[in-house]
Amino acid sequence: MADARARLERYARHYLIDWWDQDKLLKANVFVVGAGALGNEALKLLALMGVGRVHIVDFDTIEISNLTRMVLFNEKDIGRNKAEVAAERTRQLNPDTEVTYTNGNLEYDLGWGEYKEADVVLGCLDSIDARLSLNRICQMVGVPWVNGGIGVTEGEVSYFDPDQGACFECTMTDSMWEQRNQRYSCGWLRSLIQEQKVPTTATIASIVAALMVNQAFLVLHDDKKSGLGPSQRLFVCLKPYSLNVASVSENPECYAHDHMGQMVPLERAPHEITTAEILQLVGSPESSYLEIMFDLAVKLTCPNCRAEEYLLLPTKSLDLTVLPCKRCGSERKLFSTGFIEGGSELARRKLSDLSVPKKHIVAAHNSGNRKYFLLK
Amino acid sequence: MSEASVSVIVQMYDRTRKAEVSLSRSTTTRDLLEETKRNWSLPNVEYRVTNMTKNKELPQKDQFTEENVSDKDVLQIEPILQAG
Repeated sequence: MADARARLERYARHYLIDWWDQDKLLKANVFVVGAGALGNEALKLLALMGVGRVHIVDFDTIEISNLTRMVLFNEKDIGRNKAEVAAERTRQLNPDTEVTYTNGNLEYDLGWGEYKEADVVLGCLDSIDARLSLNRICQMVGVPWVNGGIGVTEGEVSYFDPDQGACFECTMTDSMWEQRNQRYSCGWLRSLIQEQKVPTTATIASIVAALMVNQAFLVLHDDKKSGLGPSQRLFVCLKPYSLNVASVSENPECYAHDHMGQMVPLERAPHEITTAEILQLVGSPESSYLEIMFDLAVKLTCPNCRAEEYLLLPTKSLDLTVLPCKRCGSERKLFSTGFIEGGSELARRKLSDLSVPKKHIVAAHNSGNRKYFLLK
Repeated sequence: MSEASVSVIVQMYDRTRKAEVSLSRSTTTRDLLEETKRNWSLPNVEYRVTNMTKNKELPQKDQFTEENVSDKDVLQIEPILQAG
């Protein structure tokens, strides 16, 4: 961490701008979800601007074809985790920026309580499904997020405020739902369809990420007039040049506008507490159930030879190749759930055994009431 | 122009195609997209329609009447961008 004098020198040009609040930026906590083309550019800018804390989330590894658009990576990094390398390089850009990372899935490898600590989230994602997941999390924990998307010479940025207006899910069309659903079969098991590779370029990634970071910057400054308002989307085209801002309608039938509100902090981590112990806090565990916020693949049962295999893994982390029975080859039936009943055998297991990450948020349901708990 | 129809300008976001067309006010955004994709042989990606005159995205299920689409409004076809 730089001393006060070094900071004054580093940010000297920023301090000349009367409306720029460097201290606010140094105290800010920004999540960058996705460390691909947009994520790389966004991280570079956040570090240069002197944002104090950045958390990076990505499950992917670096490939040589990434190097045409991802400024933080080089050939020596091929095969390494994007989040880890991006964190290293962002720290090098600015030692004032405290950078942490999660090498994993945004939905089930990072506790939702971590998102709640963010001032703003940048969604630098590459699928509808990931955007839907991030949108649900941000809506639930009440954190604004900025969505970016790119093509070859065109890009878009949209801003979603959980307190007002449309959310990403409101903008879903029937064909987007169809496309998303093709990704999964048999509940939430990933299908074996190869993801289509979409052409993109460094120029559009750079421009869209700059717009996203600028929007985050305006949110951090509580400037509601200059940037995108809630339910607004910016579309930019580089060939030929054009830029427009349009409003997006809120869908009154959208299910994603669910706020968590008050949460009860628990002094125990997932490896220190069971479902039954949490449910005791809301009444009788036998008549209650715990919502863990992701779908858990519990077990596979073979209808032919009756063999059972317990999984206890997030269903989305698995694909269809798990279905054939290891003993007889028949297609097994998957039992999965996002709700753990208080009287079940699963309720006596530690939450970490059920793949619940630390700092996760869970909801106890009892007699129509719902109470949220934040794990340590 | 009859009460039942509206004359609008439909254009691609990159200005490669543009047409003035007369459509029924009961046309939905989805109808417009399907017709445009067919007539202009557009690549099979997701699109949305933005009313550039009113700076508003048109929900796909809504009819033009519901979204107050007026004569001479410019309706722009834009891809829904998923890469990041």
